[in-house]
Amino acid sequence: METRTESPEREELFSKEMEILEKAKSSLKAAEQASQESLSDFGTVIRQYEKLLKQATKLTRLGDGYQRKMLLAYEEIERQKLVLQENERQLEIRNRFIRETFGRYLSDDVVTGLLEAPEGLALGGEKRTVTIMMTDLRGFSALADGLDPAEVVTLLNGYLEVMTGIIQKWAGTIDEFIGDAILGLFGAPLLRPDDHVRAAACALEMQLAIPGVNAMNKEKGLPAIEMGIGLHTGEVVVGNIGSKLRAKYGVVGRAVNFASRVESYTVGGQVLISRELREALGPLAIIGSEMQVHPKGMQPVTIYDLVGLSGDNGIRLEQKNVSREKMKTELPATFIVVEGKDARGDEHHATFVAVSEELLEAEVNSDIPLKPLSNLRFRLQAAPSTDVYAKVLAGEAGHGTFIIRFTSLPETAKNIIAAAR
Amino acid sequence: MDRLRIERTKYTLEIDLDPVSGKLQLTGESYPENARAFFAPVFSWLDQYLKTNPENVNAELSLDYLNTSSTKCLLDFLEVLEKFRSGGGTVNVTWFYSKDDEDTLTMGQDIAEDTELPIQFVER
Repeated sequence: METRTESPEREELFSKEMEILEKAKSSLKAAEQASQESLSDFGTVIRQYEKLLKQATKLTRLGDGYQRKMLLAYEEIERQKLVLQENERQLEIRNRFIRETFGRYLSDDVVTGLLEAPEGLALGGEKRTVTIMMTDLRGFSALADGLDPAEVVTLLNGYLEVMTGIIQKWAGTIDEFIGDAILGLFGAPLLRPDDHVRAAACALEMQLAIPGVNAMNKEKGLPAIEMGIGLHTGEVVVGNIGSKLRAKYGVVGRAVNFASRVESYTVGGQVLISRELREALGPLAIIGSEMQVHPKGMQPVTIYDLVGLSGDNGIRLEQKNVSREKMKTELPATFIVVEGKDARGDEHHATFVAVSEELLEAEVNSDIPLKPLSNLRFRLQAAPSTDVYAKVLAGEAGHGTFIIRFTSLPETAKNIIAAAR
Repeated sequence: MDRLRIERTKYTLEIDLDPVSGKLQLTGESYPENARAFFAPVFSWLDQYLKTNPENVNAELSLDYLNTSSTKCLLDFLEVLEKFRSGGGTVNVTWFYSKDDEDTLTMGQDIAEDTELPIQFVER
């Protein structure tokens, strides 16, 4: 520990006082003629002055010491400030990364949640159970063929804008837009206990929003659209997938493919869910019907037509009563069963015998039995170069006559069918 | 005689003067707008207390920062105790300092150089 010595500078600071003191002392010695009493008083004054000077010197020294201490504390604060600024800068870089990576696809509250609890974010890759949403516009490719590119973009953007808002409202993540399809996630990057419920509620609300989208389309002179949604809850790997140059947060796994399969069985306006999600939703799920399907390369599975949710997120699809009326003129046609994207099967004969008022469904006579949810491609004899796509409705198919739901009905075919009603 | 207690504030010391135990505690930092006014009740209390001729007076000083006016008041405080001691009273002073605060220890040692009071240095 250092020992303090009186610095020459400090002595100099009080040199004038010291000089006066020395002068007083020598004057005292010289005052031989003065009375004893006066000499005593003079001595007292000098001693008091000596004491005051001593105290003033000490006070100055202590004051300097405290000032030095204050300065060191200030320097420490400044140093801490720099550390803090650096920490803030690092935080800002991290936050910017999160916002740039997820901002476009996540709602503000999900991004805020990520920023506040980054431990919920596992960028390195992690297995977790999520609810996957796959949506698709029925017959969109055929629809797009009849529109110019600008119209296609306007139509898609209008639709995706509305759907994005709803998905963000339910704190879902839009993993990607694949043309007219949306791959949405509930449970990644943030895992929440009610992911499956929000996914279901979100899907139902998206369906309920379609009439609004169509009203918007009509105003712009664009055709109406129909959307199918498939939902599945399953284990996936989530993380940043890609290369150093281009990576994106996403999911991979069989569950993603299965969600897509579930979606492929939908008709417009429908939300189909897997058994896993059905079980997770429990009594909250309001199921319209269930059906056995046999996806290629998989065991037969049951999927469910979700028409509503009870509970706090209570929401229900509007039930449409579709009645089909006999046509004045029956329309002969041919059809093939479409397997996946492959439309090269055997050609069969069919006859359109009845059709619903809005041309959503039709009753068709055929010479072969058809499985529910089979996808068909028709060609009317009156318009042999126009492809009409339809799906066999579940539970209503049988040998001889079956009910179909149009998934793509081009204008030419629509006019022919309407004229034959 | 009542105990004198003054709560610590951002700018003033915590004062706890206990006439029963004879413990006189001054703790914290002091840079009040008017140090003399702040210390006035302390000096008044001390004056009354020492008149009772207490057996043992123990001053415990734990001072992190004092401005110059407060330092002057501290020196005056110690001078009062020194006078009491030179009149035959028993006074002990403990100067507390933090392990990483060498400045406070140095300042205590500086004070100790010019006083007759026994000052003990204790790490907090």
